Parts: sequence; structure tokens; C-alpha cells
Amino acid sequence: MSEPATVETLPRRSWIRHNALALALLVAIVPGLIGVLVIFPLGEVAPAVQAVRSVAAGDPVEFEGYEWTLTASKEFPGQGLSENQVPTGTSLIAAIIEAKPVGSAPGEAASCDITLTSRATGMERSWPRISNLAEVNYRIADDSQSYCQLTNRDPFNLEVVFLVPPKSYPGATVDLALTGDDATVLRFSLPSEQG
Amino acid sequence: MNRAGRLTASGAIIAALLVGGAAIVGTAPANDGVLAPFAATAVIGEPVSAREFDAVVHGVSLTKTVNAEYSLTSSTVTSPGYWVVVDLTMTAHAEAATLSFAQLRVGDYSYSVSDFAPAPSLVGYSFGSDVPVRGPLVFELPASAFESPDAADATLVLPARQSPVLDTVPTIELDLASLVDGAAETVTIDSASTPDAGGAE
Repeated sequence: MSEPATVETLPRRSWIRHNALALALLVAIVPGLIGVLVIFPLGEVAPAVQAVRSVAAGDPVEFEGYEWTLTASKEFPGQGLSENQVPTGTSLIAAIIEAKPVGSAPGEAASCDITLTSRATGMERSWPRISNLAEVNYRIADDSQSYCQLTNRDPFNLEVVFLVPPKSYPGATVDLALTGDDATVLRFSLPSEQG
Repeated sequence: MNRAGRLTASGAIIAALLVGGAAIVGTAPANDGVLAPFAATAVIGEPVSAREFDAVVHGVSLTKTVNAEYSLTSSTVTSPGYWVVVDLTMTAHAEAATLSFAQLRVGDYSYSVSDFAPAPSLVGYSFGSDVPVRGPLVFELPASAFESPDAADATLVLPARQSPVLDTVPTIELDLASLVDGAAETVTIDSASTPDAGGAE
């Protein structure tokens, strides 16, 4: 006749089996905590990935239902407010971008934003376009417009002007992005030969 | 270790962790302190440099009436209190910058910059890198603000964004109380513009 089983003689459950529930909860909770406390906050502050499409001067590029071509650009050194209304110590850079609708499907954007970016000093610097061209005594060509409107699907010449420090022209680019969506930027190089 | 001993040890460890956690939470600096901006202080006429732009206040005037000269018309705005008109030059560093979030602080009160200055103004318009721009910043303050003893220690703060977390914020000390007696009848403001090199506009 065998001995009755007692507490001391019962086979001990393994540590893993004993703590299985707690371990399962840890496996589920710890990655969740890391996600909530670290990954999500970092994702919120991380800059969005931006695709930059470099375009050589004079080359056409298709984007958002239009074919874009930077056709001309020029620098106008400031001679003083009493001379050409451009302050000394600054320059105007003007650029003309030709936009022709292509294909039948219009893009979703209604307009585009344009900035000038220069790396002449070794540091990337940028300037918004001048909205009031009368301030700097600049008159756009008769067949140009100073605003970017993409809704009516007509071809247009976009003439944009920037007030910049001197010597910003070499290596500068005109950056074009859709208003409200800068996931893709067209980066037009300025031609070395101005005109 | 028997069961009672293990329970006691577990309880002691949990209690110690709770007490330690509470001590860390209790002594840790508040978020406001950790993320607060850095004030770069200056006085009128003294240039001050921040991460995104440089600024210098040329002068401050007080008036009941501001005459804004727009390109095609002008507009006169009268305040039951006072308009504080700050004459300022800013120069953006790498990217375009704006002073849309400028505030005038008197004691515990902050007054936001008004937005009716003729365009392109330092408010609501971004100016590009290394091109100095001089123009007015206009604030409307109640008359009671100048009766406060804090009016002598007012500050003009120029954050580059609404929440300047861990960023340098130019802070210019202003004695507004001393301006009341010399308040101008009318101050005329124009759009912001780039002065000729050398300062002559």
C-alpha cells in the first residue's frame, strides 16, 4: 500500500508554468508601453520624409498634371532705394517657370508654394517670394503671372521674385511644392547664364 | 524561504518600488521647467541673437492713435488705452522667420501683437535669410497696465513659434511707465522694409 500524497511530496510545478500568466502579460504590455512612451512621441516630432526631385535648368519635368520648365532667371543687384528701389546690400533674383497642363487627369492641388534656396555660404538658406512686387519696383512680363493657380488647367508662366543677400545666385535653386503638401519638392537649378 | 517569507519579501519590494517611484516623481522637475525656452535679454538699442533670427529694438513710443499707411489708403485706429509701437529690425538666419507670436508682458499679463500693420509687416509675413527688415510691432494695452508697478519692468518677448520649447527667445526689457507722460498724439506706421546697407532707409 503506497503512502498518501502530501503537500511536500506533490511534484512542484515548473517556474515557467507557475508564472505563465504574468509573463504573458509582460510580453503584451512592455512592447505596448515602449510604443506609447517612445515610438509614438518620436514619430510625432520626426520630420516627414520629403522627396526632392532635382531638375536642371531648361529641363521639363512632369508633376501634378503639369509639365514644369524653368526657362529664365536673373539677379538684379540692389542700387539703393532712390535708384532701383532695391536696397543696397541686397539683390533681387527673378525666375520664370513655364507650366503646361499634360494628360487629362488634373492634380488635386489648387496652388503651389515657391521658395528660393541657396547654399552659397555652405549653409542652406531660404527665402519666400516677394508678394508685393511694387515694393521693389519690379514689373513682371505681360505674359507672366506672379501667383501659382492650378485649378483652371490653363498653361501659364509663373514669374517669381526673391529679395536675397548678394552672391546668393550661384548654386541657388527654386523649390516648388504643392500648397499644403510638401511631400514632393521640385528643385529647379538656376542657369549659370542669366537672361 | 517559506510562503509567508516570500510574501513578505514581495510586499517589501513592491512597497520600496512604490516609495522610490513616488520620490522620483515628487522630485523630478516639472515639464514646464524642463522644456522652458531660454531668454536672451537685451535693452533698447542692443542687438539680441536667437537661434532663428537676430533682432534690435530701435525705440518704443506710446500713443492713443495709430495711423496705418497702406499702399492705397490709410486707416486711423484709436484705443481707449494705449498703443505701444515698437520700432524693430529683425534678420532671419537660415530660414524665413516671422514675429507673429510677439508678446508684450506686463507682470502676469501678456498682450499679443496686433495684426493691422501695413503689409508686408513683421506680423503674418515671413522674411528670408540674412536680409534685415525694419518695421513696427503694435500692441494695444489697457490704461490700467501702465498704472501697475510692473509697467516699469515690462518685457517684449519674440518667440519664433507659438510654443518655443527649448528655444532661444529674444526678450527686450522696456520701461513702459516712463513713456506715459511723453505719449504722442498720433504715431504713423508703414510697412516693413529692408533698409539700405549702412542703416539709411
